[in-house]
Amino acid sequence: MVEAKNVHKVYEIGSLRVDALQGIDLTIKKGEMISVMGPSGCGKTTLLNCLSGLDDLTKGIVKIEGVSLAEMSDNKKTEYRARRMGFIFQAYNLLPVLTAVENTELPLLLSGCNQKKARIKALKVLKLVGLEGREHHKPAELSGGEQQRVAIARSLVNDPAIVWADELTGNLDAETSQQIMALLCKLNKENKQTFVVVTHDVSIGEMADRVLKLRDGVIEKEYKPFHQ
Amino acid sequence: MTDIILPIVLVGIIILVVIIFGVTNRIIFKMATRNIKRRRANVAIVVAGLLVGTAIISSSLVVGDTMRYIFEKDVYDRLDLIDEVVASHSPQGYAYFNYSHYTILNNGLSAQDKIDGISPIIMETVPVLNQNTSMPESRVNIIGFDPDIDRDFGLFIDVNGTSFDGSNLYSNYTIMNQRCAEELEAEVGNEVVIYYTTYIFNPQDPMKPTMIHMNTTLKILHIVKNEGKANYQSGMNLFVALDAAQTMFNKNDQINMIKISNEGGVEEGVIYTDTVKKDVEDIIQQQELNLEVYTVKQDGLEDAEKFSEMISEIFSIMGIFSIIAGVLLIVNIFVMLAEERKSEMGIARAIGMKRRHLVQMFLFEGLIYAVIAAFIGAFVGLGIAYLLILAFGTIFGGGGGIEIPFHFELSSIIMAFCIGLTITFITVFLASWIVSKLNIVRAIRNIPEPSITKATSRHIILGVFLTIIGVIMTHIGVSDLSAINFMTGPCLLLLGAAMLVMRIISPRLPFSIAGIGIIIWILQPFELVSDMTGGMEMFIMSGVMLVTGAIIVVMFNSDLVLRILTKIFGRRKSTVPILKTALSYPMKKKFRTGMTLAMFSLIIFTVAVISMITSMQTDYIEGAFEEQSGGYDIIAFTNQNTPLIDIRTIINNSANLTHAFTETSALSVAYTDVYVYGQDQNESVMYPIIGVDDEFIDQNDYTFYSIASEYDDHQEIWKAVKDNSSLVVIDGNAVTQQYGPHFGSVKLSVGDKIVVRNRTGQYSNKTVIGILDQSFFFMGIITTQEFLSEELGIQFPSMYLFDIAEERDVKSVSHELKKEFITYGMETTEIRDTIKEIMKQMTSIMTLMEAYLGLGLFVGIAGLGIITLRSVKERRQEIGVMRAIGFKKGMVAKSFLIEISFIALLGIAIGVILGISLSYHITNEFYPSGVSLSKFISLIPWAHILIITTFAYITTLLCTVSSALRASKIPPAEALRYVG
Ligand SMILES: Nc1ncnc2c1ncn2[C@@H]1O[C@H](COP(=O)(O)OP(=O)(O)O)[C@@H](O)[C@H]1O
Ligand SMILES: [Mg+2]
Repeated sequence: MVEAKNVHKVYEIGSLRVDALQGIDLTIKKGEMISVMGPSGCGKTTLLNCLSGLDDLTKGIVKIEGVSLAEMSDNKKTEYRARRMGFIFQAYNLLPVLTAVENTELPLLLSGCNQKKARIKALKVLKLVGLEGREHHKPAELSGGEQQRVAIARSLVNDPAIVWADELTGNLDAETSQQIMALLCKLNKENKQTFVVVTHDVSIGEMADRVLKLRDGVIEKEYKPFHQ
Repeated sequence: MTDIILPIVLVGIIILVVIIFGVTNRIIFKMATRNIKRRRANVAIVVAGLLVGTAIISSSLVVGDTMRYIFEKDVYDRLDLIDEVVASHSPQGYAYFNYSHYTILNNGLSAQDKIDGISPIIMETVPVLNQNTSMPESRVNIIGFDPDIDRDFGLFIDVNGTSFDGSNLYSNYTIMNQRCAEELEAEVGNEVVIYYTTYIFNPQDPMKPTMIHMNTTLKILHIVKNEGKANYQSGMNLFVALDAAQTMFNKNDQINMIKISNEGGVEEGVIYTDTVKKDVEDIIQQQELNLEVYTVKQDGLEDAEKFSEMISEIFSIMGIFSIIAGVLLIVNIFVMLAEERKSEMGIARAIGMKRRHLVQMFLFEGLIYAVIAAFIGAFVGLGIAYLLILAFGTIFGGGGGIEIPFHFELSSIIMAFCIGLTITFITVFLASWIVSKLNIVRAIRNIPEPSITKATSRHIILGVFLTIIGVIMTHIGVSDLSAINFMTGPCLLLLGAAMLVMRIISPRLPFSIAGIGIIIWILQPFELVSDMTGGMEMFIMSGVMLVTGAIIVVMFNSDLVLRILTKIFGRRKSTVPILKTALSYPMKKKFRTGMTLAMFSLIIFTVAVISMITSMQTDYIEGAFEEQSGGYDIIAFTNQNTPLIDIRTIINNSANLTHAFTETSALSVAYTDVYVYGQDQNESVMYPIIGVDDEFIDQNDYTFYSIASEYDDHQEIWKAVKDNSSLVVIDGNAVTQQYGPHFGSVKLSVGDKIVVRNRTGQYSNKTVIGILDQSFFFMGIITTQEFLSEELGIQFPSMYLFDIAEERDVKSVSHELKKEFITYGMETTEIRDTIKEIMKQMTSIMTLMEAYLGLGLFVGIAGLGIITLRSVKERRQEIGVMRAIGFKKGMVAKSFLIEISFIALLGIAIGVILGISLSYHITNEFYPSGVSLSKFISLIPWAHILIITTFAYITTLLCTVSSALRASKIPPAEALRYVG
């Protein structure tokens, strides 16, 4: 599904140089649920951005479904994201002017789907994430947990091959976080979708099949949590 | 109407394309419209800012409409059904020709169905006296006509509304129009005397022809309304039977004009002008008649069009500053909207939106703003135009003011709407394109864009492009002496070079040098452009370039500015934290600060320049007496039909006038075709030729704008004019001016040759050796009286210049002169009073211009208003933190007000400094001999500038104070709350 070889990412701010990723090798298989953990600033978000093609690499290769990201134009990458990927971020996840269902159907519309079909699909997914009855609320009218559910619904609506989630529980209380993560696990099992979940929260991270521990831009260790 | 089709189609296409996108991409359209709703409070300010441009365009078009309407109406009123006049021109007016010419033409044209009237006329302008009331009038048109033929040109309408053709008009009776009757205080039955002199040439001594003075008494049979043909030339008209006129002027069997009316009414006939003209000319040629066809209606309408367009242009050019400021505002608004939505946009891009979707989203939003703004703006412009016209009426109406009929065409409103919408839309498009380019990761994380320290490939491309354009423009400027190219080229070159150098060194130094370089170049301490040609566009270019240069310098050295300001104002310890926070924001958000500064300084710049020019003009009044008067107190003209041969003898014999004058000069005047040597003869214009006497040569004190270098002083110039009739002096209307519009009909400089037609149709060359400052009281090419009598057949003077003795009152002498020379139709003008009046009008016009330019201030104020509104929003959390760590409410508000003041006052300061600097340059041109620095400084209207800038500043504060107060009310807890 995703193959990364010797991925480096360097940020340069003026004369300052940050080596955020220093040679990451990684393979993500289809249907896997992986979590990326590590302390703040270790490069988790950077890794996710680089793997998903949101950010450019300084060095190395990332291939998604066999195609190197470097070979794709910006428009190609964008189309690919709309069709095959889902994203969940920590904050500012939703477009404030759109309602829950409109937010959810957006990726479908962007990949050229018929409006009626998009609406039906979006409502279905919203039901799946437990938001029945709140479809026509704007983000400001939803709680933090509900907002993240909408974001999850949006990330799933296009039946993506892979979903990237960055600190999706970062702004939520422990109980809600558990519920959300459980939802992701359930979807992973039922739909065989690939999930990459970035978190600094151990209790959340260890709900995944495989855990990558990152430290200072390198993979420190990799293990299967013991619930399995 | 045809010229508005293109803009309508253009706007139609824009709207259609946007709508098609909207239909195919409903979700994006939805996001755009909801974004507008989300920012309801902003909409009013955004629209207010956007509509200024359209309002400016609309007002200038409508002013043009009114002017065109007035001038065209004047042409129709003046000429009524007359479309062409056939006559034979001589240097003193229409020459007589045989009545048979009319018969020939009439027969020849009988088959031409595009003509519905052709009538033989005698027209003379003479002095008239009403014997019953003793009221005189110096310029009355005596029109001799044949009532049977002239019926085709309409009827007379008397005061009771009865119309008649005048066929009962026996000799010694006359029909008088009301305008004339009012002037002469005449009633039906009054007797009026007309004066006329004819002379018979003596071949032996052409300077001493035999004069025949004639006067004829006429009895008023009817007084008719100033309508139709009775309103001819909007003059004071007396109609007499043609044969009576022939007797009266001793021109048996002769006429001096034939009027022609084309098929159709007053307004419609003009379309056949070319056909009719050609047919008439064919006959004239075949029959070898010494006649010419004057297409008076067509020419009049063309002049009306030209003049109204010129006025409209002055306003629209002046308005360009406000339009530019408006464009800056639009860019600023969209950049801020984009910043506000940056993380949203990042998310949208992450989940699959393309850049063009973002552009579309902004375009929809922009189009909606633009449509609303252009619509309102077009009508606001109508209102502004109305006020302008009202002001015109007051300025030109003397004490009471005149009522100018306000008139506008719907097409102008539509045009303004279309142009305004297009400008706004294009700007929105470019702004959207710029802001939609974002780094997704930075956008989502809301990390500020890194400041550019090294030239990217874009910079290199732009740099190369600017450099090349700069070089080309400079080259063109040098080769064809066009000031605009010559001045703009090096500026672009400097900017381009700075961008290229940025590849190697950090941008601060190259851009600072470029900015300073531009300012120095435009202010031209070395006077390189003196003999280049340029007009109003120079003013605009100079303003834009100066402001660009200054803003570049300030923005690239913002830390320096900051340090200086903190040093100056940070004396009190308690203010330091406020000052520091207040000033750090504008310097952090450089783009919006730069844009807002630019808006402010550009408008203040123009206002400063205009108020400077007004001040110069006011100051110039004293100088104007010298320049414009030539040392004379009264200028007088007599009627050419009643020549005054020896004015001095009559004056000496008059008890009231004999010691009134210290100088009396008599000048003769002729009108003939003139064109600039080397130009096409078809471009010749009718220009007055003035023949001066020895007294004028010896005594006049006229000052010169410039004189040929071979001559040391004025005396040498006048001596040369006297001795050599191929050397001439010309009036000040011929001077070409940088920075301003040109109103004269010929543009000349010293050393130029002009070609003058004599009465036999031959042309001779003359060299201009001096150009006078005088431009108010007469136009003319000044040469000797001999030239006029020999070459142009003008034997007698008709223009007089009087210098009045110390102890005498100018007004009363002027009155005496009129009375004494009533039978010669003398009209007098008191020079000093007239200059005062003209200067007052000019000053009023400048004030009007200033107000018009000041409209742009609203753009600047709206700009700051939006920024502040936005700042309060985006800094909620920071303000919360500030409050939490110990900023008091008042300190927060103060810090905002300091920030606003900083931008507004810096903008004002830049504008004022640049405006005054450019004015120094303009002043040096305005005063031919230059101006000393101390004199210049004394001219600066400090109080005036202070009032305007204070007004601008206070209005800005008023518009932003509510935002600042709102900010101060943000609770400290805000910092701790998560805003989603
Ligand atoms: N846009 C950026 N510019 C400069 N440095 C950055 C940028 N983004 C992240 N970094 C740096 O890269 C490192 C990794 O950041 P990040 O991937 O966000 O860590 P994490 O998500 O694990 O908290 C940090 O040291 C951070 O400061
Ligand atoms: Mg992170």
